[in-house]
Amino acid sequence: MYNVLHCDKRILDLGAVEIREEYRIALEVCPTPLMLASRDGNIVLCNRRFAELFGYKDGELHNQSVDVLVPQEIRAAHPELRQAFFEVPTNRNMGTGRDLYGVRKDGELIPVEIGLDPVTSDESTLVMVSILDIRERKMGEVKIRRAIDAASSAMVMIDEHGKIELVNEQANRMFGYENQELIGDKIERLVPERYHRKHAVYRTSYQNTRDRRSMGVGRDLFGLKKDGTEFPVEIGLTPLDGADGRLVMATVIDITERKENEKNIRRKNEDLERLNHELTEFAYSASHDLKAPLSSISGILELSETDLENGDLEEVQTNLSRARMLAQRLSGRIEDMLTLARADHLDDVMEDVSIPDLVREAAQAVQGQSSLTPELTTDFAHGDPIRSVPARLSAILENLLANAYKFSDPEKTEHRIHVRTWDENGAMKLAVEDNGVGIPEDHLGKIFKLFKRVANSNEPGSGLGLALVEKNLSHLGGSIEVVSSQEGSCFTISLPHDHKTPASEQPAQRLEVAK
Amino acid sequence: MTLSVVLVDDDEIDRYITRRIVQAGLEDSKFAEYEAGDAFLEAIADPETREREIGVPPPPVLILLDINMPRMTGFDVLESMKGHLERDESLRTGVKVMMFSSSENAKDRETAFSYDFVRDYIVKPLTKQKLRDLVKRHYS
Repeated sequence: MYNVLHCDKRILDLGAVEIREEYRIALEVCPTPLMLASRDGNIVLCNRRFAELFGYKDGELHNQSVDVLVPQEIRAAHPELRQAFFEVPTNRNMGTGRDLYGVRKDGELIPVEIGLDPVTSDESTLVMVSILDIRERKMGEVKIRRAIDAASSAMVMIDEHGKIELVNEQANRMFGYENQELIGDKIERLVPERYHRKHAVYRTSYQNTRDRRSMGVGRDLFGLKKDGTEFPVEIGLTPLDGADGRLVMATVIDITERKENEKNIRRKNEDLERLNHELTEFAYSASHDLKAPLSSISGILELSETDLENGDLEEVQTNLSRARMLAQRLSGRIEDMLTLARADHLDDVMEDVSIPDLVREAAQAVQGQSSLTPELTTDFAHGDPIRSVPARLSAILENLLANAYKFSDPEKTEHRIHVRTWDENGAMKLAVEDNGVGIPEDHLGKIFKLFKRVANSNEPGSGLGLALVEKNLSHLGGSIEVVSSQEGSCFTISLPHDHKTPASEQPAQRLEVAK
Repeated sequence: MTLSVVLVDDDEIDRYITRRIVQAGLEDSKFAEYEAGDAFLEAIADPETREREIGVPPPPVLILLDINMPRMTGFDVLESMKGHLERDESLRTGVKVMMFSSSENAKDRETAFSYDFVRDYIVKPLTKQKLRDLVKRHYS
């Protein structure tokens, strides 16, 4: 285009402003829309292509002001700009960095690129204006832009110094920015501050390899929103080499939801593992503790057959009582196991529960457990009633009190059980303290296990009581602590005031402390 | 066949059943029983007590060891016996330990046989037939 201009200039240099026919012909044969304008902004000459581009008939533009071709909004400023050009006339493109438009006769705006060449003759300076119709190119750009904005992932293009060149709509939305807000900024604006220094290093070293890959494999990546919040991202990098330099396109995916899902799956897995472990333990214990009375009954019956043959009816009598006792024990164990299994499926309906009432009822239910008739004293100092699930709380209290009664120490002269309550750190605490036989230190860790009977006593029991306590407590969001010595044991439960059902499925926390 | 049979079991009724089966099936045998693992370990640790209550091989000693006992399980007893057996030549050669449990759990069998001095795994209750088979298997 400019070659043509220079060739035109040579021709014009030959004569004055007075346009000769030869010039007219030279302009006409040039394939570029060209126009020659005077210092005061009048169109001296233009070729047919120029007139056609702007929708004018041949010759119609002659002597008109160039301002008829200038969009309304800059028409007022245009004379001044024009003046500036003539003060420092250089060969250059008009409006670098701005989108330029020309106005057709019918008012339509068309995107153009404009070249300006000063043409100096003896008397005056003219300007040769060459126009490039960029409508098609603009349309192509719009299409590409639309495609980029339509992409479901966020895209950010940076130059080799980390300056943001392009941001698609999705990226703006993801990071909370608008329009061109991010253009020209450092890419580190989208990176949490603690990674800034490292990120700049990574960025520079990427410029050496420039391979197509995911960013930060094996590291957790985070994006920074305009409002300061961070979110986990996955980023793909694609180098784009071109006339504009060594660019990099980063494709960003917000993986908050995926991370959340992964966390959920992990938690569910842990729950399942725990349940599976519980089930295995349960099956193992059941194979011991449910089979044991049955094996014994079978042994007893075989002996009874022998005794019957030998006519030893007295021994048969004794053994039948033994068998009956074993059958009862087994039936009790099965009942306890069913209660335990049901503990997971209770309707957790919260009600106002009066602790003194519940303790009294529980004590009545279990006090037959000991022939030593311990004395029960109480001291209720919490805010009553509390919101809880009565069935669960009853099961907890009955089992704790049953143990306190059952493990009274026959060696001691006095037998005491003391129940006290108080409020502490948003929870109600309830302690059941006895002066019974106590729990040896090395057994404290096992007492909550299914079927574990650690007590050195002939007291019958299923070994399920404390497992039941723990399970019910976990549904109430509570926890239990044990302190024990030869002076007795103290079980303290803690029930949070603000617990909401359905209960978390975390196992109740517990802490075993030996005095 | 003359044997010295030792039973370690916390359950009173099971001890009664086993005692009667052993006494009926092995008439000349010596029979000793312990309610808990630690009592048994004390007895074999002290040579005098051992000689008085269990006897010194020969005759061979057969130990029936229950697994599921409070405080100290059968496996805890096995762990403690290891040391005794390593130190005592006569115990090592003359004593056969058999686990004795109502559980047929594979994990229990596996744990039991991980001790090289455990010779058998008997499922409760002990019957005349089981006792005959056991003697045939280990003492003929």
